[in-house]
Amino acid sequence: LQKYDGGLALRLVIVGLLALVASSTGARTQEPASYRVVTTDGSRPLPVHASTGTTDIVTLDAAARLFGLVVRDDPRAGGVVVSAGNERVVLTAGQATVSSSGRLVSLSAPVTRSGSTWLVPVDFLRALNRGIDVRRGSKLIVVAPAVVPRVTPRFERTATGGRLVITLEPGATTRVTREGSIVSVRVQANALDVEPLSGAPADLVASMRADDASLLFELGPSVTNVRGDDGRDQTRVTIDLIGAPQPAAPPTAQAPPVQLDRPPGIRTIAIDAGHGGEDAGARSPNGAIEKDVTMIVAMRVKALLEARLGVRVVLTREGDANITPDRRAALANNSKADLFISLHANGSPVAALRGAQVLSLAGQDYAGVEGAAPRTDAPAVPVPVVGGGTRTIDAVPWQLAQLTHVNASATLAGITAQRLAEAGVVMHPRPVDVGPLRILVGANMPAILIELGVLTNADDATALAQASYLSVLADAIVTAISDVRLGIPGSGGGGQP
Amino acid sequence: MNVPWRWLIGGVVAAAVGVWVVSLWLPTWLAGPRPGSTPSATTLPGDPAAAESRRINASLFYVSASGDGLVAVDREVVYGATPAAQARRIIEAQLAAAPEGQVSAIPAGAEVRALFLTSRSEAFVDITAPLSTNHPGGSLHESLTIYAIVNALTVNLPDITAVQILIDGHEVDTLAGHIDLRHPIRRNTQIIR
Repeated sequence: LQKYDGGLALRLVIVGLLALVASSTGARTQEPASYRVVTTDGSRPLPVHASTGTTDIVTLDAAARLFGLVVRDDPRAGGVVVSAGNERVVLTAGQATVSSSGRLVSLSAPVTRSGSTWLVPVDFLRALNRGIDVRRGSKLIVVAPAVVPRVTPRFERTATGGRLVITLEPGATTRVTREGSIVSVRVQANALDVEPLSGAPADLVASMRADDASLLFELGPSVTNVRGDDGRDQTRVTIDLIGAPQPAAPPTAQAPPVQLDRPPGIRTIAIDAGHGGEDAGARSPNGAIEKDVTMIVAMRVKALLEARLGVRVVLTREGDANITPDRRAALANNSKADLFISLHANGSPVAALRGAQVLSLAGQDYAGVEGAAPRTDAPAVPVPVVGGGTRTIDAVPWQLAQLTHVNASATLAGITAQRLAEAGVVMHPRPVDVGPLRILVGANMPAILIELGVLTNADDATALAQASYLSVLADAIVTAISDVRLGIPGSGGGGQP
Repeated sequence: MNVPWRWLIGGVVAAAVGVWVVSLWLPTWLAGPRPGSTPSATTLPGDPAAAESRRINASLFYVSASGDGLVAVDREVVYGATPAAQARRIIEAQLAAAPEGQVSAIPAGAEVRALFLTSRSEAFVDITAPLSTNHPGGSLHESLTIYAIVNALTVNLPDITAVQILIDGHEVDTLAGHIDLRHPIRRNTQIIR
């Protein structure tokens, strides 16, 4: 007995020492990870100097070396001038906005100086206007024309086993191959921005990993056959995993139906910067243009959402482009967005009118439109699949997709208006309203249109030209989204007119 | 059979008289002036001069003082002899300059190209491009523009229940990016202050 106790004590000491080593190793791994900068020539790291919880800070020197920036001190302005080609960005210590070729760009944190080192939030790189896409959630920086699709793998249980559904945004050419127990999806891209796969049973999918521009699935022992659909739809790849017949369950132990829907909660949000290109939208007497105001707030909301909620954010336009309403809704639908937020600024024939307003779709305005009648059954449409046979998909009339979400959208509109008012934003006499809104009707998820203010009012126009006010607006919008991150209360999903 | 030629002539004359009575004199006699009226005072449908002089009262819609809605203003509108003609007169008045003290929600330069009614009680109003190209934007202003037109027809002519706006003869998505114009729009009384 004494010998046994001694051996146990020795083993406990060894385990303790191992735990100590592991904890010290863990402490080192908590240091901020580097960003991976992806270009068409390959990828390089950009070290993170510090992480504040809401954003990542990098040194301007490191960014300058990586992107070939010319940095010049401007002692008179107490700042620094960064030149990249024809772009000239002025940074001022303590300011969360930078001037980019005369345009004011809002950052997620102020620019600071530590000795001779300038520290900037990583989203500063967007201000360079060189097609740089900063993805904080996945620690990726994509430099155009490099293509790095966001890849969302999902597992669905089927009668014959399971199905992997892989969504790519933007779409790309793919090829599915199988080698032994490994199924690889090769994507024609420079790299992949992959979300984790959850819910797949180990007997069908043992593991998933990304390797450069390929996604590799290790099949579980139950898989007997694989059917892949590669490339006909560039935004979606499906791989059917045919499993060995499962032993029949005892008749008395009837299992509850498997919930195949995604878990509750918001994972992806589509932010729509209203107007763009030759469609400038409303204008203020002082020259502010709706399309610019909406873009600044959209970028700010995106940065805050990614930092605070860690959700995936897709923008319906990245630059000054004129995108049709259907394309905007399609991007949200194809990205499986959980919310669609369209940002606008208002105009009125009466100059005295001011205030922000939140709108949602008026379902009753579509009561007489063909296809808008309430349905009690989900219409299923058979579609052919690779390898023969068909499967059925639910068909939602594209032009009326929002009708099933009008209740949830109205609730979200109310919450957002309340958060804006609480943040001190002057509200329209009717803070919440409904209408037959073209931009919302095709969105197949709760969707609202936020009028950030009235540009034809002098006070609102002045406020909307201030970065600090735009930050207040963005902050209130993100707070409202945070309120519903686990679901919109009382929506129930219904809402037919 | 030998018919005397004077009987033949008499028959032809009698037939000619009969045809004249039935085809010319009888309709004129039946449509003749009623007692107490004179031909110069008769108003025939479609008489432009008479129709221009006749007017009806209609509610037209202008921007409310608060700027967030519309107000109904009684105005005299030229009489239209048919429902479609009356609808067109109302829209022409709605698109015209606002009276003193009122603000129009309609962009300058917009004019009616055509207007027709369907058997489904819907009006299709075809308006020139400035309704869209001159629009200053904003969902509120766009709503005011559209519902000024829609309400002007649906409030004054109850037989019209919905209005589809066309631009230069074509169906459009929106005027300025917000309000869905792909379907006929129904009356909006919520916007009236």
